[in-house]
Amino acid sequence: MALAAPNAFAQEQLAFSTNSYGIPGLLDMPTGESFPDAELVTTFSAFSSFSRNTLAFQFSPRLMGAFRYSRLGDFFPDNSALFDRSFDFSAQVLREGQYQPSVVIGFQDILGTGIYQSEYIAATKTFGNDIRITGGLGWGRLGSYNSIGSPFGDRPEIDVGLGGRVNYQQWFRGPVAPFAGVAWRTTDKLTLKAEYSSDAYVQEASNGSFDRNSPYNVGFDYELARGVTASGSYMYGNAIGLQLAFTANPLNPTFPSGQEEAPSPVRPRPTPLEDPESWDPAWAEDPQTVASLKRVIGDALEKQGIILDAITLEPAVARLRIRNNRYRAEAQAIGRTTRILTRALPATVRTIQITSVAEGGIPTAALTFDRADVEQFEFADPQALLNAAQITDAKAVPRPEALPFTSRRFRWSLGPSFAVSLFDPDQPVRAKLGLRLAAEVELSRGVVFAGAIDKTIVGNLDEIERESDSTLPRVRSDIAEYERQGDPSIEYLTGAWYSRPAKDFFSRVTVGYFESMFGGVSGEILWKPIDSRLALGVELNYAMQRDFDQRFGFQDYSVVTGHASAYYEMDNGYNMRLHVGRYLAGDDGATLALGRRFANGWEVGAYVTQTNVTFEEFGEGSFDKGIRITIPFDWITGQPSRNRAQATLRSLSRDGGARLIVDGRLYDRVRDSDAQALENNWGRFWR
Amino acid sequence: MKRLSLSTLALSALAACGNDNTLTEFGQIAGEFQGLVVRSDDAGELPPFDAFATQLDLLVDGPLLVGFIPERQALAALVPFGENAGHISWSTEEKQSLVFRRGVLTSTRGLGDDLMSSEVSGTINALAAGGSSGHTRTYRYLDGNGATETIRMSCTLTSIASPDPSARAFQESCAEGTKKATNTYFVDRGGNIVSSVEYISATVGTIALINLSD
Repeated sequence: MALAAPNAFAQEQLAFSTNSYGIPGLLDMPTGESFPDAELVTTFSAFSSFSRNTLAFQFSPRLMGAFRYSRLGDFFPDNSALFDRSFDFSAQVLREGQYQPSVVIGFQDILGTGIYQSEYIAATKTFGNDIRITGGLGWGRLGSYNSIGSPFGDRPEIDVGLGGRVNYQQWFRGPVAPFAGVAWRTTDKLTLKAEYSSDAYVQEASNGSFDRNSPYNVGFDYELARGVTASGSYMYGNAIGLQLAFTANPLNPTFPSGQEEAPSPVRPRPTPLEDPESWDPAWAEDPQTVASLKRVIGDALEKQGIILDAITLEPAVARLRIRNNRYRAEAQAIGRTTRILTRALPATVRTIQITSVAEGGIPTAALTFDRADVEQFEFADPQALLNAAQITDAKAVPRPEALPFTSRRFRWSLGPSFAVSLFDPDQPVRAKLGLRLAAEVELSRGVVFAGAIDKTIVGNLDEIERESDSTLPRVRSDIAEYERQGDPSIEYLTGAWYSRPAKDFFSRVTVGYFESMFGGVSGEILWKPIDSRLALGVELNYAMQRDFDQRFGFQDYSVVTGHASAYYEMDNGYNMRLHVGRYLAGDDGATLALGRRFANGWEVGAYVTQTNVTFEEFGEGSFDKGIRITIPFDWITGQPSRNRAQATLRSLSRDGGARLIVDGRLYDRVRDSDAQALENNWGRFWR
Repeated sequence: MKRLSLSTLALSALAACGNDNTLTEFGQIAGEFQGLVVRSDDAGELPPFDAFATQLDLLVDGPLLVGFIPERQALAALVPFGENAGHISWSTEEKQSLVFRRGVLTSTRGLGDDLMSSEVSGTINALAAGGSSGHTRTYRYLDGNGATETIRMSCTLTSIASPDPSARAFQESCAEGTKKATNTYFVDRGGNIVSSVEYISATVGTIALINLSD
C-alpha cells in the first residue's frame, strides 16, 4: 500500500472506531480517518432518547457515503418523536504522513430538513502505534458550541418547504467551532475514547428532550467478534450511550472460495504415432461417432451444472453454446467446459468455440481458443490464455446445431418470501414472511413463461394505516390495499420472448402480469457490443394497474411508460446508469444510479429519481432515492451458486418517480457474460 | 518397512515446521499427531498414518500419494488422473486435486483458498543442485475479489539433517515482505521427492505428502 502512494510515508488511516453517527469518529465527533476500501458498516447507536441507525460504505479509498435513519424522542410539543433520514458524504483530502495528519472534509445530512446538518474538517494524527489525536472545525450543528466566529458569513435558514434538495447554500456558513478528541487502542480488542464536543444540542435543549450538561464525552469500543464491535459511553454529562457496529467487506469473503469439486485437468492430444485413429478426420463423417461424442460431452457438462444448448462438431472445429446454471463467474463455466472438451474431442479438432447463453436463452459472448494454447497455458499465468483467446459477439460466429429441448427447461421452487417496508413514521419497520411457489418453463429457445404465487404466513405489512394522500395517480401508494386484499396473490405471470435481432443488439418482449401492481405489454431493445463499456437501451411499456386482490383483473388506470437508458462501466467496477422517460404516474423525469460492482459479484449503489412532480405533490421524502446492495451467495458460503441476495433501502413507496418492475431487463442479463465480466473473473477460468 | 520410514520422514518434517514461529498452530496439531503415533507404537499397533497407507495399498494397485493437512486434520489418498506438459494431477476420491511438477507442488483445487498456479523451476533446479542461496518461486492465488494475486517469493534451499539415511532432506525458506512459506523435501538416491511438507495458502496452511508409488 505504502509503495503505491506518492509519498512513501503517506498511508490510509483506517478508523479505530465509529462514532454515534456510524462514520469514522470518536463518540459524537468525526475524525480524519476513513474505513478500509469497500467496507460496509452498519451501526445501531442510542443515547438518551436518540437512536441513530447508519449504513456507511467506503465507496473508494477516499470517498465515503452514509445513510442514516434516526429517531429523536420527545421532539415535538406533544412529546412525540421525530423520525429522520439523512445522507452524509466525506472525502479524505490528505493521507497521514510522517508529520502530516490524515484530513477529512465531511458533509452530514446534506438533504431535506437537515436536523443533523453540519460540515467539518477533521485532522487525525497517530502517535506511536495506538494513540490518535483528532482536532477539527465544525459548522452547522458542529459549530453550535463555543463558536469562534463566522468566517464565511451567516448561515441561511434551510427552506424546508422545498425539502429534499441538497442544502448547499448552508455549507461552511455561520458559526464555526473547534472540537477535539483522543482514541487509545489499548489492545487489539479494546479502544478507549474521549472528546470535547462542539455540538450544543440547541434544538433538543429548547424542546426539552435533552439536557447537555458538559461538552465532554468518554467511552470505549470492544470487539466482540470479527466484524462486531460493542461500544459504551457517557455522553454530555447526562446519558449512557450504547452502540453496536457490524462490518462486512466485499473484498474479504466469509469463506474462501473454491470448495467445489476440482475440475478435470486438460488432456493434451496424443501424437499421431501414439493414436493414429484420433488424428483421422474421418470420425466427423460417421454420424454415430458424432452423436455419441455430443452425448458424452453433454453428460460431462451436466455433471458440472452446465447445460449443452447447441453443438457442432467438425474435423477441425468444435462450436458449442452452453448455459451455466452453477457458477457465478461465467469464466469458470467456460474454463470447465474447455477442459472437458480437451478430454473428449478427437485430436483433429484444433479450434474450440464456446458461446455463453444467458438466462432466458440469450446468446451473448463467444470465446474462441486454439486448442494448443489451452494445452500450453493450463499451468501458466491465467492472463496468457486470455491474451490468446478471442472474445466476439455470439452473432459474429457460426451458430452451432441446436440440441433437442428436454425437461431441464422446466424449473420450479417452493420457498420463503420476504418483504419489508421501512421508514413509515407510524411503524419504522414492517415485514412479512410468506411462502412462494414459482415456476418457469422455456417452451422454445428464448420463449419463457414464468409465474409465482405468494401466500403470507405472518407479518404486519397489511397493517399499514396511512391512507394514501397522494394527488397523483396512486400507482404505488395503495400498497396497504394490495397487502390486505392480495393474499394469496399472483405475484407475476408472464410470457417473454428474448432475441438477438442483429450483432450488438438484444431484444425482449414481455406480456402479462409483471409485478404485484401492474401488468400489460413491455418491449425493450438494447445496444451492447460485447466488449463495450457503453450500452444504450430503449424500453416502452403499456401498463395497466392490477386489482388489489392481485388475481387476473385490472383497474381503470393505465399508462404508457418507458425510458431511454444509458449504461456505462468504468474501471474498477464503478458504473453509472441513466434512465430518462415517463414513469408510472405519467410524470416525466430521470433516474441516475451510481454503483460499484465487485468482480466477486457484490454490488453497492445508490440512485435518485427526479421528475416533474413537485416535492409537495410527491409528499414525504420529496423524491425517490435509495440504496441497493447485492450479495452473491457464493461469497457467503464458498460454494458455487448463481443466486444472490438483493436489498433496496428506499423511502416509503410514493407515486412520483415510480418505475415499472419487469423481470428480465436485458442489461442485467447480458452483463454477466460480456467481455468485461469474463476478463474481471478470468482467474476463475482455471478453477 | 520402507513405508513406515517414509511416514516417519513426513512426521519429522511436520515437527520441523512446527518449530517455525509463523506456523505455531500447525506445529501444535502436528505435535499432537506425532504424539498419537508414538502412543500407537507403544501399544504395538501401526500408527494411523501407516495403517491408512497400508489399507490403501491393499486396495490400490499403482501410484498412490497420501496427503495430510494438519490445519484441517484431514488425511486423504490421491491417485493420478492427468498429465500435461510435465505437470501431473492427482485427485482424492472427493475430487480435490493436487498438481506437481517433478514432485514439487504447483497447484491445488477444491480445498478453498487454493494455490491457483506456481512457477517452480527455481525450486526444481535448486533441488537438483543440492541447494541454493537464492532462487524465486511464484505463487498465484485468487484474492477476495476474485482477481489473480501473484506473489513472487525469494527463497533459499539448504540441506538439513535427515532422519533416514536413504533420503536427503532439504528445507526451502521463501519470503516476500511479511509473507513467508517454508517447504521441506525428502529426496531419494534417484533424485525423486518421496515425501514433502509444502505450503499451500494462508487459509489451508501446509500439506504433508508421502509418495507411495514404487
